[in-house]
Amino acid sequence: MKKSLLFEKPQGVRDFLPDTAADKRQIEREISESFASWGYREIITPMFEYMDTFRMGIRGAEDRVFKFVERSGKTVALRPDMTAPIARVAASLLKHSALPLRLSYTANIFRQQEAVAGRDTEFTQSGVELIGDPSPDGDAEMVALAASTLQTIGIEGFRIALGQVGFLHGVLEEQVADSSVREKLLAALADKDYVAFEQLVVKETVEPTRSTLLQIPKLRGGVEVLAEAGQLTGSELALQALQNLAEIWHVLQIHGVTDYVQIDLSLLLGLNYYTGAVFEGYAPMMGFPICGGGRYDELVEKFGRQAPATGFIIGIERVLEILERNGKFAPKQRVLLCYTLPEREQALRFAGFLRDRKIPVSALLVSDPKHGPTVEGSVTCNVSADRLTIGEGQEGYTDREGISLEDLYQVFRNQLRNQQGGSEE
Amino acid sequence: MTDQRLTIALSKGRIMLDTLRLLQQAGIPVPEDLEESRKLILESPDGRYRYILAKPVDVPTYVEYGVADLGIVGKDVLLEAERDLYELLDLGIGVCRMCVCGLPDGKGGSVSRVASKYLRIATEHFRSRGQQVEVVYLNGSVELAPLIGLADRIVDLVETGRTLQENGLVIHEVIVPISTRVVANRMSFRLKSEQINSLVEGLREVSAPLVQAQNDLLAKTNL
Repeated sequence: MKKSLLFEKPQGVRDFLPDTAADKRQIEREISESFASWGYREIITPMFEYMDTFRMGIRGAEDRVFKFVERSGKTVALRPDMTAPIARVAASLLKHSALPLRLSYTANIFRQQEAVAGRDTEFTQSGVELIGDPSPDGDAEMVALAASTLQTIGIEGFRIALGQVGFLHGVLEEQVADSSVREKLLAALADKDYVAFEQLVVKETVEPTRSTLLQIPKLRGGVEVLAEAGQLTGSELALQALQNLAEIWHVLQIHGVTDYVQIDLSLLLGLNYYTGAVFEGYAPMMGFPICGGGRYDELVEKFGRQAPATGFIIGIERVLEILERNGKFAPKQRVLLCYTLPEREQALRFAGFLRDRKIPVSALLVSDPKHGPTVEGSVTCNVSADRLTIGEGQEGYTDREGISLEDLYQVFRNQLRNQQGGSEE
Repeated sequence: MTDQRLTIALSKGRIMLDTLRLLQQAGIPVPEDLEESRKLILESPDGRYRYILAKPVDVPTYVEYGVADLGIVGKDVLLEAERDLYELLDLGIGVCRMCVCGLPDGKGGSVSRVASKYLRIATEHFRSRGQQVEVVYLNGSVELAPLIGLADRIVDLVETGRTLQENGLVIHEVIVPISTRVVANRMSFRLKSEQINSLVEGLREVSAPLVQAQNDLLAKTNL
């Protein structure tokens, strides 16, 4: 192994330089405000916990988790998701809080990736968990909140695919007697490998089961898909799942977001984790999903409190990439005040005056006021006793009300004069 | 807002001609100079399709990242790449088999070193047999390895078996049948579902006889 060079970082982690960091924080803030407006309260949990906590609700392969050993010999891990820690809190510290609980978070998440895959090892997720509400209204709230939040932050043209894992389980249990074949079929659908699914169906089943199962990947579209799917099966579980989706759809209509939603009955987000409605969101020009989640009624119980739950996450880096590309973020101008020794007091007081007006400003003592430094993203200006001059070749700066820096300086001087005048009297 | 054009990544090489023929049969416009062109990105005359000509191993990457909506690529490459994509259709072309091959020995299959271009497939195969083997990566002329004593076995694609025969090698085991697949990006599959569905249905129709023939052959060779 080569020794790492001083500028190198481990694979899949990144630095956010000031401009991007500001954009990222802005998005996180907007998302968090959106969650708060639906009654979700933010929670902060440790970045690492016992591996056993995560093992309860692990979604991917366990070898993706960063693990290390504590002095006591116990294995701890960097969080590979936030759902398990929140389930732990809901079942322990918040044991006596009445359900439903509405919790939100923005957290960095860690998952080891294949060396050449080019995927992030550390990434940020903002999400919510609604614990203790088994109703379709709760499921619909997740989809509606996701859609509303994506709209709020300015994502355009997104779509959300909505499925229900009960449908697939029901249909397969009804149609396929051999549980090992059922598992293979589910695994193929979870892999999104329709070719393998079809090959298995053709190999392992006969008519009429064959035709029924071959319809499954085609069950995508608007609400009419639910009726179509209902024709295929008599399974109680599957029909309940369809009924559940119909109710969710009805609530989504009331929320006014069905234009963004597509039914997809073959949607499976991993295996053995979700127990009901699941969904995933996509936006143009971004090859990876931007949000996703669903109902997981059995997880919190593993921590000792019986509580059905549902939740979703938004991938911050992914929406950030879209929004930066679409020009959401105006360049953030700052002010650099240059002053010479005689103007020190005047200049530093003026800097305070600007900060009170929420204008980001830094100050710099210079020896020659004519040659202030040029700093990217900053308007350089020189303070003299009676006026303020903008650095040569630079565009001016105006505050939110459209008042120029020069005019603000005169306002400041008038204020100063009035104060001094008042004190003299 | 969404680019309504479909971008398709095509695998250069072995399966290119058959791919183009199928596309044409399905009525999907293909630029005429595509085979001779040295361009890497070509547009169909009607502007509805854009083709990226890529090395097969790169096709899954293009599709996973969404720079191509669809890709046409061999199952061997997909198995090796393990990218997160939709696998929509078997085209029944580029049919061959991923095999364990070697000299016709009688040692009863104690294998310690395997040479292959397909590290993941080879490793996974022997693991599933409960065997731990050392897999040596070779990029070409893998058949050479057993002949010169570099490895006991190779894992490679076998199409006609002629190369094997000419080098005195035999197939010890067929791992998996391979053919060409249509894959889709997860976002494109949702946001361009109509275009993708109609293209896939068109291709399904023209490739159905090929897939049938392939399945019959597999049934005959008892796979």
